[in-house]
Amino acid sequence: MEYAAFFFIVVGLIFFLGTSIGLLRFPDFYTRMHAAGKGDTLSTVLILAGCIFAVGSQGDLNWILALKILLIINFVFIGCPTATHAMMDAGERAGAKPWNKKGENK
Amino acid sequence: MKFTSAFILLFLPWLVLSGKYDPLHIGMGIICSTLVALWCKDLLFPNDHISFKKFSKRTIRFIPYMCWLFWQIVLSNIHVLKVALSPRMNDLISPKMVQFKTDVTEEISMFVLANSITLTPGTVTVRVEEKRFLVHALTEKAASGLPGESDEMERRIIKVFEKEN
Repeated sequence: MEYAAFFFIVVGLIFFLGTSIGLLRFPDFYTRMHAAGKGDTLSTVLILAGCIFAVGSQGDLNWILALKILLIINFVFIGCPTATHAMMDAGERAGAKPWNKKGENK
Repeated sequence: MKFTSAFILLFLPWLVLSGKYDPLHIGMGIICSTLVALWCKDLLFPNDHISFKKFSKRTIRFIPYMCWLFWQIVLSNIHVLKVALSPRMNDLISPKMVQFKTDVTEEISMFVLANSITLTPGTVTVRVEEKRFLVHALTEKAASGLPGESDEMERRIIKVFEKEN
């Protein structure tokens, strides 16, 4: 149990790190949202799953707590892509130009 | 029918989230769920022609789709991680906007399709209008996997939500 918790949380943190670096390094608004929208979902889910195992490793497995965390995971799963979507749409309406290879940042 | 499903949908999370099973808490849960279900059942289920049988069939067929989607999410995260950490990032990506028309008809399947596109590698849905999807793709390869060109994801969604029997 302890090792499972350790594994899930560390993998989640690695993905979160990748997301943050991507957020800083990508060239424009849209590509940055790529990093933010995807990395967030999986890393949050992994860290929360790790939390379930961490609670389980402390002796008595608390089913209500595990179910509550599963509800949060469910919400993140639906909410994350929808929020990404809303921000992409807002950016497009506000006139953010997509970056492409030829015309740097035009 | 609408009221019952709304009540169950509200009362189960109440049981999980409150975590206390004495008469007072369960009673409060029943009262709140009843009131909210009475007022909001038409908001939760705008069209009433969906039968329970259809709903449960969809739910069962949705589970393998969820597993497939989760695998796609893992792939897409590895993809983002790889691109974000590579020193020659600008050679790897060639972003572009793609537009296509979809074959799915129902609202729920369009919602699932849009969110699935966002979660699969290299693509993010920007806008859905009527049946036209505007999608931002990170690479050429990601753009070629979209429903306009290859219809794997669309086929799966139609299988889950729109196939009768």
